[in-house]
Amino acid sequence: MTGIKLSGKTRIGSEKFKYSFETGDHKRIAIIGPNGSGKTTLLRLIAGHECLLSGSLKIDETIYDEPVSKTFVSPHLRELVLQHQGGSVFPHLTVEDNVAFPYRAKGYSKRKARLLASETLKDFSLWKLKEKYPKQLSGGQNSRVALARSLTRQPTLLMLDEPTSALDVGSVNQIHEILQSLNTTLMLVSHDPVEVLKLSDYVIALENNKVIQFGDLASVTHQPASPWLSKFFDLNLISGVASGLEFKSDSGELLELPHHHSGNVQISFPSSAVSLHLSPPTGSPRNKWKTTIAGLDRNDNLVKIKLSGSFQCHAIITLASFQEMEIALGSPVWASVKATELNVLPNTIPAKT
Amino acid sequence: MRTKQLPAPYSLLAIGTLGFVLLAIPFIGLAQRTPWSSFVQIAKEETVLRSISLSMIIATSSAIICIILGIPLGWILARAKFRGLKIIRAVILLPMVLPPVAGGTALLFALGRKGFIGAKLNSWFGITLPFTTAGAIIAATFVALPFFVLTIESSAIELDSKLEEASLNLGATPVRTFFTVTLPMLRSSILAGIALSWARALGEFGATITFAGDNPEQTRTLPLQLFVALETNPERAMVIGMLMVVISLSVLVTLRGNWLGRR
Amino acid sequence: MTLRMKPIVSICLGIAALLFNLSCSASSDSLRVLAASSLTEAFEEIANEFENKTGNKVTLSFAGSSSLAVQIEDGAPVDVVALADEETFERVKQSGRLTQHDETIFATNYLAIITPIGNPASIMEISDFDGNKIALCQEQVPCGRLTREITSSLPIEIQPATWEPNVRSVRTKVELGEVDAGIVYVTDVTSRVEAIPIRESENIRTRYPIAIVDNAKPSAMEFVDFVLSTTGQGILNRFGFGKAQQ
Repeated sequence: MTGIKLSGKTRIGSEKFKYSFETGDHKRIAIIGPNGSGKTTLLRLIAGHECLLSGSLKIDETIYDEPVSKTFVSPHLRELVLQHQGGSVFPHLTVEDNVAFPYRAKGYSKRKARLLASETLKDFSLWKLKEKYPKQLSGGQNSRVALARSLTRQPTLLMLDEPTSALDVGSVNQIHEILQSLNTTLMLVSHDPVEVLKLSDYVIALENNKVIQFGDLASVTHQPASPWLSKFFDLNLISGVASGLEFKSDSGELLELPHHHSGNVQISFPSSAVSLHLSPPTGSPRNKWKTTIAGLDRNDNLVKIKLSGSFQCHAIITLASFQEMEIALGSPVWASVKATELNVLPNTIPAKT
Repeated sequence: MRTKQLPAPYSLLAIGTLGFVLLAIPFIGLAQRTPWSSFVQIAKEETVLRSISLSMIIATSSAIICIILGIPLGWILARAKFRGLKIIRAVILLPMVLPPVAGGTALLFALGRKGFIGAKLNSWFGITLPFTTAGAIIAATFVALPFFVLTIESSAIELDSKLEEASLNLGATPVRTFFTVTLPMLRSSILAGIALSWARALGEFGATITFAGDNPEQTRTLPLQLFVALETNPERAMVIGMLMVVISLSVLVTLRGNWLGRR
Repeated sequence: MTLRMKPIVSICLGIAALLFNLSCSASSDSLRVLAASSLTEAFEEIANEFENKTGNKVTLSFAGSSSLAVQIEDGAPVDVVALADEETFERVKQSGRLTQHDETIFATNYLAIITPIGNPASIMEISDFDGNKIALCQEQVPCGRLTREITSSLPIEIQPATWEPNVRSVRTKVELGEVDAGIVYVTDVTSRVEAIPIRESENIRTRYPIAIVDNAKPSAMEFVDFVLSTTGQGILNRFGFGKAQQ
């Protein structure tokens, strides 16, 4: 798979959309962005439910949509599946017939299709539920049905629009496990940073119906192109004024920058880049400040700590470290972050720190 | 089928009961005055039996045509997005608004022996429609079709297009999608539409008598039979009226009871 | 509680007022005349002249005579009734709504064959009906009864394509060319159809009775007199009706 190459514009109603990106040979792609930024439209465009007004869409060097040469491949002829938010499981068919649907679409008889689908049903632990109708199942079970059904199509590209947004934690983990084991290329729209971090290695970020950034997960998380992206990956944002290598926050704290800057800026750094110390730290980190623990949030083996003080930020440390330090709400600690971890952005929106 | 008991405000119940009573009273009056002793005797008369069979044939044929034409029409009206749609929709619903006699007259002018299409039918194929059962079927379909289309359209609008899109994504052609996803989802409204249009076709009088005329062999449906009986033999008229009520009730109850009760 | 009931109460009152209004007849001071369809144009002119002469307003209503009989039997509000044959008159008499006047014959009529302009099927007499599309009046209306009387004495069996509820509908079907011929009253012939007279020996004359209904307005008598007057008879003659005395 040489990936998806999309470069073009379209319009739906009075809204204009402009997309431009390539995915290369990455197999785990996440599409993120605030609400109404054009994520669903992007999926629909690739699936063929919307068409381009200019430009072209290529998947693995095959042109799927190119207005100028009047090329357009109908949705049912594209070897990909778009699974809508909610799964869109057919309410009038049993679980078995839902999962067998793609085989029926290929022309197999009802019996043959059900036979072919039986393997998938068992893989997804749906065998016992196969006679049931979707309205008799829970949200998590329906998500499995939707996924199983999408996979029986054997698509080369599986696009999922927020597949876990309405599910309980157990079901979410189940779905994640299944997704991680897949061989197909996955394109995932998600609102959950943890999900993105877990499942993807490539990110396409949208804002205002445009692609504002695309690339490896690492590069996007470390150098987010917008405040929203910054916040999405739970980075800390501090605003202030830079002069040369020195940064003075609005609240008066001084930090060292990795590069020369001047004027109003925002600096961002990941929560994981913040280290906590019980006494003023020595060593290479030159950015350090006194702070108090204002909040604790434990998730698996990590603890996210809200720090208050001259500016608010978050730190993430392992559970073991947390326990070793014997700190609690209200404890005073020293926080530090390496200048090299700081990312400097010109200040467009005042940060809410 | 599980019925949910909704707590309804008393005023709604009162008004609803009033409405039901308003509808039921004429039938109670008819049932009360019908000479039940001569009912079977009159019902077995040859002319009456012929009318019954004509009415059934015409109403059922109309219903079938309504299904074939009405489902695509209703679906297109619900999904299409072009400028002239409002006008097209208004034209489709016109027979519902016009008095049936006006509809019958229009049919006569178009499809009658001298009509702009009817004349060609006559000279090319030797087919004339007035005074034939085919003509009566056309008249009945003309008035019943808008009801069917309206029923389908309002359901199709509510239909989640995501399901049809999902079907396409999974490899089903648009035609297969229509038959395996769209139609099953429209099932209950299709049945309602059939009931509505069949009933409307059965009771059709004005357009039938104007376009198809009163021909004892081919077009004297029960309503026409009733009209003549009303002026000659009121007893007969009551029996025929009651016959229509009985036939309609049994068909309507069967249609809506059986096929909607499952699941 | 009272506040919530207000809209319901006003709606109910409105509906009641509407129903009450509808049940009262409109403009209850004009003379109500029911007349057979074949009298349409003649009686419209007679009513006009009557209104001009006496200042009394007349409301006319036309239908097949048997329909009129049903209306009277059902208690329709009417002052004067003019029918197209005596048999229907007998039926109306039985309803008991006529005052004790004997029937007064005010006109006579007889039947004619009509065909579309150009007589495409070349119909010359009733025996030519065989094999062609024919429209006849339904047998319960006077025109239909008369037709039945005439045709029953003939050796052939006529199978019309359609039986129309009144004589004017027959004429319309012929005018439109939907049928090849029909039988209507001689007075129904217009320039839009061709008329073929029926032989005197086969034809039957029908007599038109007029009567006053119980509890009629005083002007009803005036109206009947006017119909029988020279003016009224003159109008009827102009439209093709025969004299009452015949």
